[in-house]
Amino acid sequence: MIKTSEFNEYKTKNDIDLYVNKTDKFKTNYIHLDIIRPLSDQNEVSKNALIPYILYRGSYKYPTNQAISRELDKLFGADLNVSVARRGENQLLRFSIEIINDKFINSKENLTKKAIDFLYQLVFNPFVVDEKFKSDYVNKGRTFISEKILSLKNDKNSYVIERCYQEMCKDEKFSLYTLGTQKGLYNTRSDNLYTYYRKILKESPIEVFVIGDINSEEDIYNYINNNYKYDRDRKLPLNNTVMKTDHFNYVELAEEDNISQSRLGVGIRVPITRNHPLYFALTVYNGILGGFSHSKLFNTIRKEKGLAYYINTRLETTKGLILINAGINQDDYSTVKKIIKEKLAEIREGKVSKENIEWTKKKLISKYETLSDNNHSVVNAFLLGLINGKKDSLNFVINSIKQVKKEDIIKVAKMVQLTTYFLLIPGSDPN
Amino acid sequence: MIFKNYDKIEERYFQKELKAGLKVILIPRDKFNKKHAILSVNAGSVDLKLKDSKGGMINYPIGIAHFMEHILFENREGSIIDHFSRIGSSVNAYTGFNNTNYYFNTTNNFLQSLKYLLGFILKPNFDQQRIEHEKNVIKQEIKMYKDSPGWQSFYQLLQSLYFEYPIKYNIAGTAESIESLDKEILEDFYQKYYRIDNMTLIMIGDIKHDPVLNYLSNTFSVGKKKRDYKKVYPVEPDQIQSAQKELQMSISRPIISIGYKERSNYSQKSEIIKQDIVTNMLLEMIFGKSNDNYHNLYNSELIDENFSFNYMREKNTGFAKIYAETVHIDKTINALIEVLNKFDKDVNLHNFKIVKNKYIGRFYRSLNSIETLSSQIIKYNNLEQNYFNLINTIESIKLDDLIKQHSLIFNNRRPVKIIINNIKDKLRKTPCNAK
Repeated sequence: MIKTSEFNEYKTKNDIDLYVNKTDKFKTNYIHLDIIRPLSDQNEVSKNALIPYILYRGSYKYPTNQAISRELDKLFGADLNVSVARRGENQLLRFSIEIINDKFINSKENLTKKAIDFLYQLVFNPFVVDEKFKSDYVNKGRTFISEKILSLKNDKNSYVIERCYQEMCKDEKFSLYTLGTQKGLYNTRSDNLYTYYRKILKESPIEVFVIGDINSEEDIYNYINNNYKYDRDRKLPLNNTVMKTDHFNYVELAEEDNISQSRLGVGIRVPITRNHPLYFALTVYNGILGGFSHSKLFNTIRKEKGLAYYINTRLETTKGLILINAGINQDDYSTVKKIIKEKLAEIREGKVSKENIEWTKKKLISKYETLSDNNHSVVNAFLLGLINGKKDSLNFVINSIKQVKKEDIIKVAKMVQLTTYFLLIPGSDPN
Repeated sequence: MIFKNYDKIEERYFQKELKAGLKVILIPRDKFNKKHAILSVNAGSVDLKLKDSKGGMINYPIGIAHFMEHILFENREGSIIDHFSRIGSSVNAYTGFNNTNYYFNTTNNFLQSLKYLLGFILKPNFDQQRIEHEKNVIKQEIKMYKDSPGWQSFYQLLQSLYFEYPIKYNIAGTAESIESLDKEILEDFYQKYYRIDNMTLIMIGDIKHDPVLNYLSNTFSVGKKKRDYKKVYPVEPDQIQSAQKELQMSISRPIISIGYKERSNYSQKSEIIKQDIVTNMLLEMIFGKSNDNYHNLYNSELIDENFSFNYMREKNTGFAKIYAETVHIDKTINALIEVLNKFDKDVNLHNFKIVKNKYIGRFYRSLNSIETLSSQIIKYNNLEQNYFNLINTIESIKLDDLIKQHSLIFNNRRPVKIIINNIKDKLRKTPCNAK
């Protein structure tokens, strides 16, 4: 039996979705808030990306970043995180706070409620001057985002993954980088971002998660229902992803950089997302191909041939993409490419051992079981389900994986299409 | 045998030394699905030298501990990894400065996984062909790290801080150093370091005590063997090896790091832990986001969100590292050093109490993750300390401890400066053989 606890669903009077999970597994309580926006165009994506980093500079109640940090330190070093993420063709503005459970300290105040208040102040009650965000804060946000976009190339692996996605989904929204573009930042320099943000708060889905050793779910619901005040008129859906099924961008591209190891990204299309009947077969397929250390790619490319230190695959379950990622020698590129094609063909032809399927299932089940041991993972997994309209319990997921048949895996294999190779190679001396 | 309840932090701790010398630590986690075991071998990248009973010295090539970590997975018919995959467990390993750690995670097959883990580590079979194969894999690993600016700034800092102490070498070694490895050297290293009394087994999760402990007691029932050699580490001078180093990489803007070296006054082991926390708290007081220094530096555009600091205390070494990304290289370095030197002028008891609470909060947060916990236990175990006592250590720390440590490690001492400059940007698109 898995030891797990589930989220219970609530809705506040102003249409904020609240999910509360009471569990005494963790020594902290975790509160997480996502604002969900469609990935629309580079200007909007850039504006959205700026928002969390402007809010982080100061709010009405804690008007400077120093005041914010002081409050967090007073809350026993509560951990605040703001970020922007992409899930399918949705852009998530993310805010979270994790705080020590009251029972470990002699505090007269309810720290969790203070953390809930804090998050409210940060998100809903920003620092405003003359109906605008403080210009200094906007500028700091702009500098930050601009640097972040530039520094993507510092991490060669992330860079290759992002570039591979961009090439693969060239004329689709998914190719928009989570943090927007320099051009988008520039284009929106004179927009009133506060006016824009009020619109966001009004019309976007807002999903709040509370997980931890709380007194009672009702208590948390009442508290948030009464305190998360905002005049809202929700208009946008949770998911804005468009699935492309043909006319793919077949491309093979190399870029030079001053590096010692070549990095490869391989893009694969798969027309299956979380609410497709073959979704669980897809997770098994991905595991057989490259998700684990017994997978076909790792087995052949690292264990057998010693061509790479790392080779793995990742599954984008909202847009339907598989991405293979490896660090290799440039000279081995054609060999590695050939092996990848062979492995895809093998699964298509049913050349998958019973063992490989069994091991993969066991590993996947184990992965889902242990997922519930991490409060952040629980929230992230549940949110992906929400976006895809599938609020599956862990028990359901595990049962579904058990039931995947070999024919289902072959069906998936016949649906995938390799479309993109992106290679970052050592370049000649730039001087 | 030790069994202790830590009521305040809601933890339990069990420790036993088996006849053969294996130390076993078990931490029950009834509410978790994950069951974790890690075998920590007390041999890391700094273990390169032994002295035998006649006074003769044995030297090993740089990177040997890490190579051993790889090769133990690879040396049999069929991969070791597959044994674990078959039962849904995951196995992996990592090599640190002082330890090599082999671990698995499982949900249902704990005892079987444990048998596999001990089996492949304790009964190796070195094969020259596999050794050659693994050299290629590790060369790729070395290349991967070489391209990482964060890793480079860390590695270069160690290179400049230390003259002799092998913490200065890349854990994986170099393409050249691993080339010299063969079956004979590896067998010799294994025989010397992979003794059961040089290992600790840590288990965390909802694990049934009795069958596991019975199995372990029966397996490791033979008494300890005599050791006729001992580990030797070089004596490291107090001063730094070189004050400044610059290199170029393909990055978006320059990276600087400043390092301060702990004097080699190797205090008592419990003092080392205290020194670790004291110095980290001290850095938090100086550079933490709550106080003015950070915001003055931030508002002068000398540092940004990427700014970080930490102090790393290990068995025989300690150093503080300040990291920033900036275009104003010299200005930032000077400003950071100035702030570090003036700490004694703006100490503040109120800030100290807040920083202390922050560390208490952080300690509890660290208990949420089984992997974080196991790595901390290893670190503390190296120093014969118990991680769960850390909460008491934190509470016992006084502001005076910080002031004293400040004068020892920072105040007007010579730092190392590492600067990574940006190679002129030149990204070109080249079409390769089109599809």
